[in-house]
Amino acid sequence: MAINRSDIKRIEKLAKLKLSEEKLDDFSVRLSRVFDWIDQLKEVDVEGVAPMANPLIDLQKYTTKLRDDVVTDGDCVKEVIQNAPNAQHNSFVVPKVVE
Amino acid sequence: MTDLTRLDYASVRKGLTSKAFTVKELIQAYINNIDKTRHLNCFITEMSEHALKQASEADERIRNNEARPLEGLPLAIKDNFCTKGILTTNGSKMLSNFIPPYDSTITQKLSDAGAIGLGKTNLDEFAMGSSTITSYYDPTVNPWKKEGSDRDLTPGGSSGGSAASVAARSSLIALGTDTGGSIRQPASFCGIVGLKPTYGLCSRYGIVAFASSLDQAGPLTRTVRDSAIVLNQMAGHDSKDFTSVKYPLPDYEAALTGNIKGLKVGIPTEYRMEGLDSEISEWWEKTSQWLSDQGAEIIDVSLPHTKYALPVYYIVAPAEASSNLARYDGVRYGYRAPNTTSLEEIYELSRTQGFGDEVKRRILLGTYVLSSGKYEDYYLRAQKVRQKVTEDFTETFKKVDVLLTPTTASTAFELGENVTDPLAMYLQDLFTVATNLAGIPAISVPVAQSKEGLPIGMQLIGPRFGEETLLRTADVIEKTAGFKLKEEF
Repeated sequence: MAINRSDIKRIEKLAKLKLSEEKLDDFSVRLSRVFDWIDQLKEVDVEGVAPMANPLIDLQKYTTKLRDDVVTDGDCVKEVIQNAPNAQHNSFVVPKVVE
Repeated sequence: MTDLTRLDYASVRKGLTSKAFTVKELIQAYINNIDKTRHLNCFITEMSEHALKQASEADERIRNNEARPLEGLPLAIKDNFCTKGILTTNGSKMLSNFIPPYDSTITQKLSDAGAIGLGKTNLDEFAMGSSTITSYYDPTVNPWKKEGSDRDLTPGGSSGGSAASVAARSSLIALGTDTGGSIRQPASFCGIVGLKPTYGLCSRYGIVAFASSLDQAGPLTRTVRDSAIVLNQMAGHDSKDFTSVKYPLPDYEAALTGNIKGLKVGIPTEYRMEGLDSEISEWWEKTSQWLSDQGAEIIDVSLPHTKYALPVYYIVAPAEASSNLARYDGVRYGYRAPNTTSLEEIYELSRTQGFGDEVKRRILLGTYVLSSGKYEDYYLRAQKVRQKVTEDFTETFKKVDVLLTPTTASTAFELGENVTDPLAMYLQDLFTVATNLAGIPAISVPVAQSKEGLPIGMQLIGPRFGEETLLRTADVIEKTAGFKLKEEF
């Protein structure tokens, strides 16, 4: 399956990141090749097969349990905020979003 | 005094208990090796000062007969495990300034058991790769070289820094993660043991997520026994990871009985594929003969959907990655692009500048297969074929106890080789990736040096929670093979 520049531009927008302009053509060739190879999955008869979201789906009753709704950590504003690229008054700072 | 870095942890444990040496001497010996092998670029962050301080405390505990199960263990930690107060970069510019306010469950458990962190090891950016080449912090170099050559080889990846460090004796045991082979392939390339446990056995809490339905933490060690010792401390339910399983834990070390009489070993015919190095193929035969000589029954089996595992992986892993990596937005932590004037621009420029090319390619691939109109054709179909790949294993493990295959189709390749062809790189995961899709455990154990002098690893695959049988069989292979790490690198 061929994936062209405009397909890539569209997914760049969805993923909110950009490849450099000069890498676009190279990536479209690579991606087209990868999809040609991936297309072999169409040979497999998957009629009636349930999609497998994770390897423990049959053990879900042993894994995915709700925890008691209690505070288990917190009170570490300083440690959290120290990783923020821009913070003031214990808050993350971004450019104005509402006019 | 003997070089303490030559001992495995089982011997270290004895030496510390009998007070033949101190933890401080042991840790200092490792720090000296970190200095000596810095050209291999195993570590992104070294923790020597911290380690020496902990060593004194460990010696105090030993003096008071309060030694814990991993007391004094010189441990390297892949840099995608969050470590409280210690830089955790994930090999990415995106997290080049990230200091976690908490510890991953696994690092916390090992630290509580007495292990001493020596440093954070290099990896492919966001663990995406099989060579450690995509790291923002430059590639790691394999301590092994081809005989008569001084060209640098890759240690494999993504846990390349961890594997190279254990092989070069700048750590005794290292933590890795395995999403498609990222523990086993580098273990094989570096001549050490690498274990990927059953999905759900070891907590994923605090490990930077790549593909959440595939990621699993495991140890890289010099001996099978050391893998068993450290797995005893890593395994177990964690309420902070909702895919963590409550499973009655055995003593994995006790599983190493040396007895494999009556064990049924399957050889999957589909793994005898084109492109498999002939020397590796010969050692595969030999290894199966060793097992047969010691009472195991060798049975040819078929896993008919094997060839679809890799294309399934290259849909599922990028899809999950594109979703997991959406959190890197330049707002709360991680890299933020300078000179931005709108929130939208912060997102786009921070991600564009913060991620390397391979990560971007995988995010874009994942975004594409999840996008409207493509989801059913690709993502949903891949999940269904994943079920078929898993059913192959389920059926096969009704007939055999373990599967024996090579870990990789080739020995370590030169740094820079293969990178121009993404499909050739992806083929590095050929033998390892199906087990991640199925969530079952596998271990790589070194069996021999190739004629060029490079390590060859064999892989054992087991059913879910079959770690005991894997370790017991790997232990027998290890003892028969008598593989030795090089004296000097």
